[in-house]
Amino acid sequence: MSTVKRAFFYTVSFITLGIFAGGVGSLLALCFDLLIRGESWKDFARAQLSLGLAMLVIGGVLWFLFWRVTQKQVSGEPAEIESLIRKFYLNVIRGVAALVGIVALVGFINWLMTGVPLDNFPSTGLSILVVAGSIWCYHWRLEEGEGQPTPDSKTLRRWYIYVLAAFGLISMANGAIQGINTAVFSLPVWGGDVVHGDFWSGDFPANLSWFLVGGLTWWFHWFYMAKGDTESILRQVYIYLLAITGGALAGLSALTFLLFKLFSFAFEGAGTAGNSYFLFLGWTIPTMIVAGAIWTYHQKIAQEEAGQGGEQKLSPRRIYLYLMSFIGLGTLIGGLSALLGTLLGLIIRAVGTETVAASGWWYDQLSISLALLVVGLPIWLFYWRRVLRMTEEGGVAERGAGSRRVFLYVVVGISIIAVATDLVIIVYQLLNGLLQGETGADILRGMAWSLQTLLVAVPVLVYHWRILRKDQGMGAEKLARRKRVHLIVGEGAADLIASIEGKLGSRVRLLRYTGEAPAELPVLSDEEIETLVNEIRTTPGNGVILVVTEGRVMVLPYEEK
Amino acid sequence: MSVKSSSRWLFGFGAAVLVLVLVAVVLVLTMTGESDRNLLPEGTPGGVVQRYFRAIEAEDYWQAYNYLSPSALDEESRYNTYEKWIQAYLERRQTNAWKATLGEPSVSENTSVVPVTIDIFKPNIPFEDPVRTRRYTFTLEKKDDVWSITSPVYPLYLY
Repeated sequence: MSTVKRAFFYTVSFITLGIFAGGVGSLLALCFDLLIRGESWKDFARAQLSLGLAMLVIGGVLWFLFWRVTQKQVSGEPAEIESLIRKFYLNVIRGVAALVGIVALVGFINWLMTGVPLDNFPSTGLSILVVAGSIWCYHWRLEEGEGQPTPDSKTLRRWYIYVLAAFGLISMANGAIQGINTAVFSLPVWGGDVVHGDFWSGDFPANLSWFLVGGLTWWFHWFYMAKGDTESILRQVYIYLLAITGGALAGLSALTFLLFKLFSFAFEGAGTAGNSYFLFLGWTIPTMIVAGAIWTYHQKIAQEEAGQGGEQKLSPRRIYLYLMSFIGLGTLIGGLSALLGTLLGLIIRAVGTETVAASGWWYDQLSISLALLVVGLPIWLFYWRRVLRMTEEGGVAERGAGSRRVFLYVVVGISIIAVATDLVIIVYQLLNGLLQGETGADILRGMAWSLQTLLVAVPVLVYHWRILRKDQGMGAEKLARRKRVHLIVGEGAADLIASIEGKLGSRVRLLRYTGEAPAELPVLSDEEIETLVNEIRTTPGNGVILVVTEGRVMVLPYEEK
Repeated sequence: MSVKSSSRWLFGFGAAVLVLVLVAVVLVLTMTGESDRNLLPEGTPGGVVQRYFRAIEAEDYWQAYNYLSPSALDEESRYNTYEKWIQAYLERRQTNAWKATLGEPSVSENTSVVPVTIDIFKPNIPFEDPVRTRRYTFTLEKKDDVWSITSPVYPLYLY
């Protein structure tokens, strides 16, 4: 099949399957309504039956015809099985079906937990669950049965796995946090004169349902489907950027809020909120615990899998380190700036002529600055020291890494903009104050915000600017750009490609050789792969084509004009 | 999964869908339209609201009008006679199929509140949800041991 024909067949199959599924779902919901909810609205039922039948018959017949043709084309045709469009179609279908089914399953379990009230029977939800479950099951078996013969098909399968694993993990974590928060809120310790609703009739069953279904989804995709997939770059992205960075961000945000509220309490007490002031503990502590568990588990997995790959694995880890350094630095800057703001406020009030000043104006500002400093400083120190160590060990190649360049340029860029903006405002306030004859305290008040950010931005700018210059001096920006590498080969080259990609640290594009390919591919030792990769790197031009011929891999360099 | 295995799965799905179609058709033809099915007691707020909707469904508008409170209709001059009420209703009435689901009534001596959810079936395009849901709160009063609807007394157009 040509690509256009293939795209046509899969697009029509997708749309007609949607219509067919809608019809089946509608009839199923109608049956549930009549049998379980005991509904007897004649006109409504007949209208629903008519639409359901129309969608089912028209969508079903069309889908069956197009799908049969597609399946016949696939039969015994490796080129059709490994086609990118087919793999995209199968993974999108099972991804969409899984997500829709998960939401419906949560609704159904929630209904079970609330005591199976027949008046609220989830007819639509259960019918969606049955239809989405059947579609997922069929396409899952189809895709897993066919396997993934090409790197691209493996990548598409990985997208499905890690998106679903991430969705499951987030749902599970959120369900646990919200559930504990609901439970804490229901404790009889918060005072209050009017109490409405009880623990079980509130949000708790829904939280528990999300926790269970999310956990099941994560378990299936992470422990079963992603098992042994240690070579995957998407797995590294999932581990480092979603689980570890996401977990750290969630936990640190909760910790910062908790510290802010505790410092506020230490300075000013609970105010009028009374006992309920401490309700924030209901979500901050569970968030820290859950996020900490996610962080620790994935950190452990990352450590176990570290060293099993080359540059490809280092990249997400490096991004994670710079991302955490950036978060730590940002938090630290926020804390320092707020602290300087408090000090400036004290000076302004000391030298000013203000006769009425609200007592405790500094409570919140000092609390937030201390909370940000307590969290940001150790985070920045911890991660930045690891970055420094990695840079020392990695030499100029490490200094030229993309994530490091992005980090340094972003920090320097933001600092320059902050310094420039602050200077404009300070000079404006100074000139305007002098010309208008304002007092020193008034001028200082007008420029306080800019002064406090300027005092922090300048050292940050100077420090990172020096690092950037040093990197440039060592030739970090003159490193050769990655070459395009294409491999022309027949069947069964997955191992060879994986070996080259592992050492090269970048992707190898596969061009399927349609002529008479050699019966056996060369099995290259580690040293031979190393030599091949060196040859790829050192040959002139911005790309190479690798050709497998007579038991060896030939390197043909080219320059794209 | 081989083509043979795929065909087996498709055959299984096809058989299940056929059974579903038969069950749905039989259920719709045999179980709907029994107006006295699941009726609530007549002397209760829920029973009155339910009968009001059943009367509209059966196009017995005079009966439906009689479930409305005369004092509430007097206050609403636009609908204080049956002629005005039915004229307003028939002018704007839509022909879409609909169903009403009653919530738990709350009763306080001589007044009551009944939440009602109305699902209107109006299909447009295949991927759009054909059901539109509207929620109303019916209030009732009890006079001489008879419950009648005080709000809304205007005709529900259900479009």
